[in-house]
Amino acid sequence: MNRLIHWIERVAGVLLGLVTVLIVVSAIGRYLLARPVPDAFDLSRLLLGVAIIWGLAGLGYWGSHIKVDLLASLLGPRAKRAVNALAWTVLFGFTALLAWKIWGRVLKAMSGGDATMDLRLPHWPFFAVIWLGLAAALITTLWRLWLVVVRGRDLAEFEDVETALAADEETPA
Amino acid sequence: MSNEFVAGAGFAALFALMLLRVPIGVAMGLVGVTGFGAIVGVKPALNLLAQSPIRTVTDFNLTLIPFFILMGVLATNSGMSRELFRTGRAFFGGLRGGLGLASVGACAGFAAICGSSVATAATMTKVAYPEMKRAGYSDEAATGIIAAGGTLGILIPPSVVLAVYGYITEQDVGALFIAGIVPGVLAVLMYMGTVTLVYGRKLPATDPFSLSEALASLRGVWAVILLFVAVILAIYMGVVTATEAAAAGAFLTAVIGFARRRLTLSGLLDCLVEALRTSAAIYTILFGAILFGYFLAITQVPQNLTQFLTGLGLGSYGTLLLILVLFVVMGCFLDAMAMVILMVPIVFPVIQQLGFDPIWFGIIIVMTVELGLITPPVGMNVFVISSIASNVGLPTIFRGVLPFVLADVLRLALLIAFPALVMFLPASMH
Repeated sequence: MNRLIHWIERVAGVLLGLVTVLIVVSAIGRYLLARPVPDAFDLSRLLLGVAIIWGLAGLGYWGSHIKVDLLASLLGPRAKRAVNALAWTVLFGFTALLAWKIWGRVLKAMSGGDATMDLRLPHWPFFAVIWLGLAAALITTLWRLWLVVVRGRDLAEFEDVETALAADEETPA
Repeated sequence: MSNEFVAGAGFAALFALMLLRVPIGVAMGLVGVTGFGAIVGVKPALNLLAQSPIRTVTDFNLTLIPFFILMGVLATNSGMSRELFRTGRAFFGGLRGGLGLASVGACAGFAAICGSSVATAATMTKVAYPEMKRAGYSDEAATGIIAAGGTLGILIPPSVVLAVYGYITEQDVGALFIAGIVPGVLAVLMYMGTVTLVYGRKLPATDPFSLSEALASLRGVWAVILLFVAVILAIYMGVVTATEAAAAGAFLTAVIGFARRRLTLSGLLDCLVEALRTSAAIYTILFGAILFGYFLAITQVPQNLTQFLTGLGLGSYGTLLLILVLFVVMGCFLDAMAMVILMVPIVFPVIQQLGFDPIWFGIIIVMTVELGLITPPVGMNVFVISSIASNVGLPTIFRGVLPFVLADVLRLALLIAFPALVMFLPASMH
């Protein structure tokens, strides 16, 4: 599962990189050549939306959402496990609610014919991939919940991600 | 159910859920939708879920947040902090407490590329703490200096927290960044002053100044310093939008990393993943905050709070002080970003009613939130430093950072008394 999540995050990360390049190329086109990339505005926001939602699948699995860890840090292992289980059950329920309602939004976009400004690309495929990201988040959150309840695993702290990389990957002089 | 009851129950549920480790954005979203549903009805409340999150996640105005985060992550992972510290050391090493001054300077330089205080503190602990220890600095002084220096991350532009504040309050993010410059420089000078005044006599000088070493040290950092100046100048002059500046900043930081062989393809991939994780976590709070906003609007909490606070007869500055104290108290257990997203929509109408400038208030709030990063019981920067310099206990770091907390309070008072210090630069933009 760890490897699968890593792959999902990498693909979403690459998407973030591509959107960055798209904005830069579009800005160069607009300011220097007076020819912006068609649909750069719509494509960048829609693709970034896809990347962010797929990123949620990772957060659901690692447990690294931004949350208040103060009470949990004071509890014993059993109470902490109960708190973690409750927290991730709530997250699972909320993600399920979102997936249900956003599926409706996808169907509405399909029938409504929303499209991008320049190339008239339909919105609904982007929304559908966003919905798939939510479905993935649902599975990963459930997986973490199982790990918490059955294996007694903890949730990662949000800053873990930043701190660990900042501290460990600092290249030596 | 009366609006007051729903509002009270909603806030109680929000804090209970947050204490129980429910992700802050989810707690806000759930309370927002449920509270809205209790007053308006279940169907319209559920419809919010169909519209609002997808609108937020595809909002072009928010795209600059992942780009600035990416820029910071790339800088962190291409060894910038070590080179900045070397530059600081070359310039200040000959003075008493020179390594402390170098650390503050390096934190400031790092903050100029990275918008996160915790990342700044973490990376500087790794680089500057061992050097200061070797030079005979006490744990208290060394970690206190880094904890305080780290807070510069969210003040000196680009700042992710300021960008989020701008989005929530519909202010120009570029103007907010420019407004952060003078308070940021003031912070650096006051921290350096604190190092000299409080610790200076006890601290040794390490390296005599050498022009050749100073010039050699600049070789490693000039490109990124130039990039920072270009990004800020471009925003200041209105040449590009803040989003384009953010994307170009991230892109060029990667290019510099590759050119200097500090970044590999797999390193870039790791940076993209890390930036994505942080961005997704921030977006989750934003989803929640926007859903919670519907709840605030329908229960009229901000309006009632405005009425209540202005009715206390404390005057505009008394009310402002009360709000800032509230932020400091909340900072005892909430993350800086979460606090801004949760609290700013509630108190912002009060600030507008009192006639304070929204850009100025953004800077004041970020500085107040900074205090929470270095004061007990949570002090995120202090926790991070303690987890890396694992031999140093939390009380030692809190003692070490105390003089800087006093400097922060003094700076806050100065900027409240003289708002022009914040406002003259953004006022001269474009």
